[in-house]
Amino acid sequence: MISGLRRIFSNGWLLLACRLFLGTLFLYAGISKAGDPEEFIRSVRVYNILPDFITPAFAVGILWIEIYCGALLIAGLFTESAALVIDGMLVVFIIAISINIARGNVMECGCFDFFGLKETIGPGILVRDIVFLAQGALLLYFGPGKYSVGELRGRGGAGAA
Amino acid sequence: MTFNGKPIMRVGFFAALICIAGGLTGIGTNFGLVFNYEAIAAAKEDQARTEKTFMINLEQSKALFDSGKAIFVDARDPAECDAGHIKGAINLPWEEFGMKYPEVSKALPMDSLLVTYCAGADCEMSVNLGRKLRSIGYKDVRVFEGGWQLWVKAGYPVEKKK
Repeated sequence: MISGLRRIFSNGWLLLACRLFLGTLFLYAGISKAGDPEEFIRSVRVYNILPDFITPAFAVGILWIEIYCGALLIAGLFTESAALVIDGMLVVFIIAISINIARGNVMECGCFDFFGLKETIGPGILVRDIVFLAQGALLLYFGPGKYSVGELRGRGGAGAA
Repeated sequence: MTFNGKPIMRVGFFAALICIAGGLTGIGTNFGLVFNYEAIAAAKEDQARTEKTFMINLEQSKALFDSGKAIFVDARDPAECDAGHIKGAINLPWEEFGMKYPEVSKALPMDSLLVTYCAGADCEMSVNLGRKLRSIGYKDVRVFEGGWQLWVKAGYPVEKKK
């Protein structure tokens, strides 16, 4: 049973699909936020979790980390490290969203505001983030799968799988 | 413990590098925004509030006219203004702003509420004049969108140059 599941989750094509999906999602999310960092700082502020003076540095840092992680995942370079960072961010997002749902706040998510889509936080967003978290965990545990730069380089080392 | 056969310390090390690189790039490319966010956000909010009240309609203009608190400023050229203007309005033609402003500045105290207007909703002179007056220090400037055309049509008080 466990070895069967392991065989399914370690499938190179599945890992490639997860890598490209998460990579594209985070790269695009980061780039779209980088176009209007002020708006993203405002979105982070609304969560009312971090002290105000830290929020701008945190927000602009996060959006560039998203860009780097997305690009690394798409390339399949330092995949495990990028997946670890993405999972770390997702855990932080899940906690922040949960706290605000518990507070009864109805507010914009500020997560993936693609094409002008304004999402409101709720259980659906939490489930979605958990699905992303699981995909990140697969990449962290099983590596980049097929067609990664790391594989082409044929080298060992931390991320260059 | 390993991730995909790689030591956790090495995976963690590169993860930390990604975070540091992202953080430094973010702060480096948005330095001014990060360290002056409060001031920038406050200025934007202020501007948005001002913009919201910048353009006013016929009813709002009439209310300000009746209150006697506003000074109406006609942005059209002198010939048009002389032929007929809102009662009590001061002529400050947008086209001749630099030359005419010194002449009328005494009648336009900095702390007064100004309402600019021109021929109608299509003319831009009242908006340009409004922005110009704000830029030189007038705190409260509004633009009457409908302008002279709408005012006359409504039958509100007008006068001609004697």
